Amino acid sequence: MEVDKGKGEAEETRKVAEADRDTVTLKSSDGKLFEVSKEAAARLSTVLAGMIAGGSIDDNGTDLKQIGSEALENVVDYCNKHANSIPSAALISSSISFNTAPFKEPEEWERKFVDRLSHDALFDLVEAANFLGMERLLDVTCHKISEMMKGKSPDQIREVFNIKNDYTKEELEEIRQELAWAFYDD
Amino acid sequence: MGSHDAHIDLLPDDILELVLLGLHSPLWLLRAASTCKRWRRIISSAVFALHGRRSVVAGSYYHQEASSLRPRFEPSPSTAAAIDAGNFSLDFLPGSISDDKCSWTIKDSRGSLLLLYYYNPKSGRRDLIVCEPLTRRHVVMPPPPKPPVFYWNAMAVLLNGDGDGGAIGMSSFRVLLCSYEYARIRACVFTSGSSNSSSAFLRETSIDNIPLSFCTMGFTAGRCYWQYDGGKAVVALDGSTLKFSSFMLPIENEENFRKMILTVGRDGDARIVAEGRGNILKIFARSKGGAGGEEWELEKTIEVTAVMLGLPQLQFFHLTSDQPHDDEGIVRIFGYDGGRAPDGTSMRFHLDMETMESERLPGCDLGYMRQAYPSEFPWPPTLRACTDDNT
Repeated sequence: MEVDKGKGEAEETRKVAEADRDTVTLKSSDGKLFEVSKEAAARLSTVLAGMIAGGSIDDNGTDLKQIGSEALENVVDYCNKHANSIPSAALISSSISFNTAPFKEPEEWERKFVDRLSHDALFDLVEAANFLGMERLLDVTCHKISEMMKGKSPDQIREVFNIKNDYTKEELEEIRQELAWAFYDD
Repeated sequence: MGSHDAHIDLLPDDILELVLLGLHSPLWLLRAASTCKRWRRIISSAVFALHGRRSVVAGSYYHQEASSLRPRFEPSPSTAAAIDAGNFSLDFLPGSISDDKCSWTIKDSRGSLLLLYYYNPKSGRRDLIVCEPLTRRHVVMPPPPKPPVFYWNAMAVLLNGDGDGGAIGMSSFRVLLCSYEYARIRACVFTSGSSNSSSAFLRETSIDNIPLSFCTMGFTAGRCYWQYDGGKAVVALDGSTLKFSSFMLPIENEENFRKMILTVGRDGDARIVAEGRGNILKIFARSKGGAGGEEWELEKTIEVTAVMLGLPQLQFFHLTSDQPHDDEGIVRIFGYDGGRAPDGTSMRFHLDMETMESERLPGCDLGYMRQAYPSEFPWPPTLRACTDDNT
């Protein structure tokens, strides 16, 4: 190592060190800091990949004002778990189709990951994944919500998701008549 | 975006669409669409954008061995688990279930609708009935003007109606009834009426000088076809314009065909496939261009034994009675060994008329009894009461 280092050289070294760091720091809307694997963040989020490539990552915590700490913690958790699992090229979601499942099936750990979330945390995570351009996480979370609807009657779906029924009485009667076959077990 | 206000309603449309299409079963989609108006709007437009009017086949109807029994339903493998096949029962149609003198015939199926012919010799009733089994609705066609129609050899076809953007459904269908009386082919058109439980006679047309030896070929690519004089003379009727056209097929005098069937080519146009002696198939297609009247030409001659290499035990090939109607460029063939092998081998194939590739079909040939009439889920959901609003 050279003893007499110029200022410019020191700056250069700092930049190199920054670029060499294998994590990035993200800051939630309520000011909490989270470390995440740079490789996983760049691979899983188009938005973070753009920020990393564009050099707009702040070493003291990149501000993500749209995302609360709970959701960001889950995002980071997901990324780090993903970094530790075997990355596979097949994780990119397939196109949506009516007959075939629009998602690649979630892997076992992804299933467990979303299963432990509360409704609120799940919806927040969907929005965070959408904001960060995390296609795979979006697929996994949306898949979880779809699963929660399957096998339920309209009444049960409304109850689970706390949805207001805005059909009129007449419309509901018509739906009941026309779609009786779809509600046979009600 | 604090967790205190997290709610599925706050998800943007495109994300909610992703969630809802993840249901990917018509049954779950319909249930979700019934929860609130926003979901119904997203589901209807998303499914419509993805698939247009194409729907999902729920299963098929088949004739029963006793014609007094109403046709039975077999779910397709993908829907068998999702919905009770009992929902497709035809028990809601009029008439006594136990009457063993009456007869039921499936004339056609299209979308979620079935076209049935019901004959009751006791009461003398002869009815053409359009029904939608899943919603348990039916409508009886009014009798056409005199003279009375001879139903026994009549061809009846379900067509898309004018309403509902040209879709097919109980409020939007047409029925084309073609019968033969006194050297004349007569075509009557009925349409869905103003309400869901009515239908009306629309108009009729006819063509004269058709010999009694004529043969009904069927309906394909929007037209009905008949042939006579050994297949040399063909008459076609356009289902939407109700215009008849007559033309000759280029067939030699000494040529003798055992069977002629209709199918559709890759270009969506009709093909006439004639089965000659010596396992020969001749495919006729409408000439492109050409002024004046309609002209047809020989498109291809297929020597079936030559394209069925690898199956030397099969000696004879026939066109089956149940040709696929929606598989473009495909003919269905039945091959058998002529009693040479002790086990009496017979197989069914799909033969691609362009590539000459053949694909063996599962199951053995059961002939016309196995003619399947596919039935789709009513889709997209109409929910008539709600169609006025776009909220």
